[in-house]
Amino acid sequence: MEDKYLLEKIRNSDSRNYGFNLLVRDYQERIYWHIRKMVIDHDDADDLVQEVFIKVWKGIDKFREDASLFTWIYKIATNECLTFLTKKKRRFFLPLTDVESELATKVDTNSQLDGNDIQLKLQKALLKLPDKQRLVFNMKYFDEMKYEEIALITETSVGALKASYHHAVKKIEEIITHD
Amino acid sequence: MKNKKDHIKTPFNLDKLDKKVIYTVPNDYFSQLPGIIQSRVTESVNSTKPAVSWSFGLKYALPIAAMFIVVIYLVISYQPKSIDVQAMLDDVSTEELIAYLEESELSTDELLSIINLDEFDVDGLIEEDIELLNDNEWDEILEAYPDFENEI
Repeated sequence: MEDKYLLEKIRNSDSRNYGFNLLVRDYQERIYWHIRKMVIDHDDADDLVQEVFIKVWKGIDKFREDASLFTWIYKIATNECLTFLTKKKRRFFLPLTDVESELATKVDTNSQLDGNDIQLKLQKALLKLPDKQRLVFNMKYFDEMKYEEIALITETSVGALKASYHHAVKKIEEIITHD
Repeated sequence: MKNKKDHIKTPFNLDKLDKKVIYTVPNDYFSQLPGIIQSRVTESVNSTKPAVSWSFGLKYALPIAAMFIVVIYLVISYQPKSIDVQAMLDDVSTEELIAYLEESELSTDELLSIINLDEFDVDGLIEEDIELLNDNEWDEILEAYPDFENEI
């Protein structure tokens, strides 16, 4: 559904709820999986995706349309993920490796995974990357987003993103090769 | 004897891997999620409304009460202060007072009857008058009032 149509519905007080409902249905899966790949756990992802859309509701009137609606919502979701992971580390005073182990355990103990052994290894290898690098990798590799779009979301230059992704790929291949 | 090649692992190539997200979601999750979000949005909208709705009367009573308080404050603030006579007299110099009394038509006896003099004021006045008397005047008084010297 076109951004223009959605925004028109939402900005009209008579159709605000209807328009917002359409927006949620349009973007919920992409936003959910973007978050889920970062936080691993479904319950955490569920909380965060709801928070994202609450923020979208509250901020939609201030949305300046200088980027697409998708970019804006994705940016909110990205920030929510990073904030969540940072808080997780601070709350329990866990060093990076302990949070990584915790997330890896969630991957291992999840009985409802749908993938082969190599795909499981890939997910655990991704957890060894810094959060922002993992984020960039997910957006490029799984979501197949363009660097320009990732640059808008992460407010990072295209060059830096290309370098980050290249290093991430090399690191993952090395981890899985020697696993 | 082990083959050396067994120790050489085939490098993993990410491009050859089937891109797949291995995580799953509960059944009907995405069909229910919009409703859950909408109810949270409605809850957040209702929570911003004030718990107490002001009645029609109260809406007008409050401004009137505020105006009344302002008026009372203004009345109290602008009440004239009581005149401090003593302070006013203190501002007048002794020379100005003497000049006024000399110019006035009041006699000494009349002035003395107006002023409330205490014992010390009277003694002071008598001493002053006595100092002003010459010897002849002093002799005349003592002759007329033999006990006068004892009384002062």
